[in-house]
Amino acid sequence: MTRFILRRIAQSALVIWGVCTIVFFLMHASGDPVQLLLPTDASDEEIARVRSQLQLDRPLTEQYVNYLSRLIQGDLGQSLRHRRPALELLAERVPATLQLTVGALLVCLLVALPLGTLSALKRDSTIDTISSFVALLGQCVPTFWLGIVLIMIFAVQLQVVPVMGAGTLAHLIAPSITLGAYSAALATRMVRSSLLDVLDQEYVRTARSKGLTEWAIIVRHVAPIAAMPVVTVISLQIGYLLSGAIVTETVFNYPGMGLLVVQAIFGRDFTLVQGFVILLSIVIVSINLLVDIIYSVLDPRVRFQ
Amino acid sequence: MATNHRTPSISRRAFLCNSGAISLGLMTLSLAGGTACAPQGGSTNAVTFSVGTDLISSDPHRSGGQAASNVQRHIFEPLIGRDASLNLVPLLAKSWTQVDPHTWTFAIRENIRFHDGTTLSGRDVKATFDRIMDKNSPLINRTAVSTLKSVDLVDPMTVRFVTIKPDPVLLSRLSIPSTVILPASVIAAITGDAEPQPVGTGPFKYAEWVKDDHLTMDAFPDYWGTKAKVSRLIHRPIIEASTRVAALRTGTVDFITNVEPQQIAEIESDPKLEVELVPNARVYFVGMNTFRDPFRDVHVRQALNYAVDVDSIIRDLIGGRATRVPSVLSAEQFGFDPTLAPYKYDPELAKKLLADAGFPTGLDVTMHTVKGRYLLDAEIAQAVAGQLAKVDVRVNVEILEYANFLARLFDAKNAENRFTMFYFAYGTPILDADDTMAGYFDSRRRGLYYNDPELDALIAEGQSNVNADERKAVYASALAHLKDAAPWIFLFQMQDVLGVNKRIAGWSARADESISLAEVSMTS
Repeated sequence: MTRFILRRIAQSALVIWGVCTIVFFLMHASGDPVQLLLPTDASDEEIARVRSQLQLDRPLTEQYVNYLSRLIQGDLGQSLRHRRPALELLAERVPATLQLTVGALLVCLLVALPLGTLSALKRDSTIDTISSFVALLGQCVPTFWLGIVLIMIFAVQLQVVPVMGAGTLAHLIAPSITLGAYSAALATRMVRSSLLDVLDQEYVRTARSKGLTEWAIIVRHVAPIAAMPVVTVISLQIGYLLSGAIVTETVFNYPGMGLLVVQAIFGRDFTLVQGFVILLSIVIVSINLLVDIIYSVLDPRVRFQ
Repeated sequence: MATNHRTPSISRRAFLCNSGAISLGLMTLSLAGGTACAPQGGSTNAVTFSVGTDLISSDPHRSGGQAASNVQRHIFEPLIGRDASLNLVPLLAKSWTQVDPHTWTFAIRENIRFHDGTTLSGRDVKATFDRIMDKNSPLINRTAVSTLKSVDLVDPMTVRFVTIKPDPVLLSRLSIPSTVILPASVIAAITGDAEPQPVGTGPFKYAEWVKDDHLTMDAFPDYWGTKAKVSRLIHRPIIEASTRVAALRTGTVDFITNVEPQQIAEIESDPKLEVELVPNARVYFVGMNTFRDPFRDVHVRQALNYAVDVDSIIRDLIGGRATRVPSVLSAEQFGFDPTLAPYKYDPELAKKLLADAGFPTGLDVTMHTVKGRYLLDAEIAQAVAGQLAKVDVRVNVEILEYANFLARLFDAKNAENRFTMFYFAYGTPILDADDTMAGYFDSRRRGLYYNDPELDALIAEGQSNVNADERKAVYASALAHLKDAAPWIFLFQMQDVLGVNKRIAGWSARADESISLAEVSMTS
């Protein structure tokens, strides 16, 4: 068991290193932060001076080695534009983004559990058709568009939620729905198919023949088994939600990590973008690792595969 | 199918109970939030505005772009200002004299208080310019002081500026936002990369900044000029254009910039709001690389100028909200020559010139552009390409992301990396011909796409001649030279579109893209 976990941790470290490397070279290949920092009429000497101050005039390999050695010591570096540690800048935004992610997860669960359950129990009924349609829509609608439509309807026309910003629960409603829509749609289908799988099992028929109420069967015998794949899918959605926050936060001007990173990307703030990608990959890899470990505990066969 | 035996039914009571609980939970969630969604600052005498992006730093000497300047100009002030007609006027300097071609003295205005209670003196001016000129200061925008040699105190309220060479543009340079005056005590307290305390002399003082959410400024009661009529000014950065308009419509903000053409009708349909147009001095053009075929031949470049019907692009695509430019300058820039006429639209002449230049069957070329950086940028590039197709110049438009575009556009080292043809806009807050001339065409500075010894000589003359009338004549020759040499397809200057809530009045917007709400007032 320990060996299995250690091997998985080593694999995860390799994945994170790969991500860091790809991001480093992609960012450096795609534009120059110095020209964006200075006015268009800045002289070449001025550009050269700032480039050397930011140590961007060193050979790329040297920059890469410095970057990795700092990273190993837990230093994400200093943001090129903000002149503050990238970790500090990102850490300030974590609470807001986490709130949004939790909000989106809540939307996902509040939609997926009742709708998925209902459409499984009433298979091929009108409710099932509507639920399938809603799920399909949720998966197809682009986040960006959904956000703007929600602003138009609920903030501008009905004026029940604020247009943008953060700070209160009301600020979270529209962005949470926007961000959670895709996951809600995915989870609805998952809950439905998972429940249907279990409802087909013979022990359910046995329970029914024993005279248990339908509700008792669902709660005691079906839900725990059907929950397994649903929990997996939802926990993997956390990574999607964190990265999806980039678009949602831009539309709603929600001051989380996503909004910070979008501007860092456009400004080619290498260190800040790298820092974000590293944090995100650590979160995603950790969730995967955790899911793997939980699986191996629940099902010993996984360890030997 | 509905009677499938595997489809169990949940009991009615259980289902009602369950869904009731969920609805109750949802209601609580929305109610709890509903109480707190009044727009911030809406209840007090506060005006809220949005100029797009947020500040990168609270340090006014760092280059933060036009949006940052438009927020910071309410807190900080430079020595010299510009009035509504863009004339240079005294601000923190009450007067100035040019002692000799290299030397200027500035008398500093008395009895001006900084927000921290200290009084402005020549010492603060010297400390400010010493900071900007210090090459070791991190990320300071030093463009404005490139010609400065030293700044010294003559007496406590008089400062002497000495330039390396005669600089006729010095006064304009001292009016731009990156030369605002900070207190000497604040500058002395800066350590390393740290930002200075945001203390200025402006009509509003810094109160609170929550990055990417809001920056609050309170009226400064001891302001030396016209005092603010509102108690508070709040800037809310909103990157996304449609969100900005939504915020204006709900009253979350009272004033927005960068309204897109398709949003104008939406704003005009709301009786509380209005759309305002302001000319912008930035010049839009299609650049051609005269060091590369097919644009080595001046006839080809002139042909392209005859081939584009600029007026129809202005009318049909930009809704008339632009004005043609005959050469590389716009009307608000010093050195503009109003007697110079633009190229006329003459596709037949264009075809003839192309044929004479050895392209009887036309030619193929790639034009690079950005998307979303300037108003309708990619669409205008496409329209130009469409016009050129009519004279058999087949243009393939390629869109690049801005950072990537900029890196290639002014690649000083690798000429191969530069473009053959590109759509771009040029303009800086100094509003002087030297900006474009030296920044783009001077072979000693850039001249990456076109340069010429005759033009270099004119540029050098314009940089050193301090007689305004003579400079104008020099630039008139330079503009005529550039029109004939046609290194650009000369297009237009556009108007900025602002969205304003009618309850506010007294704001100002100028062609150098500066926005001021210093004297704004508000009716409930």
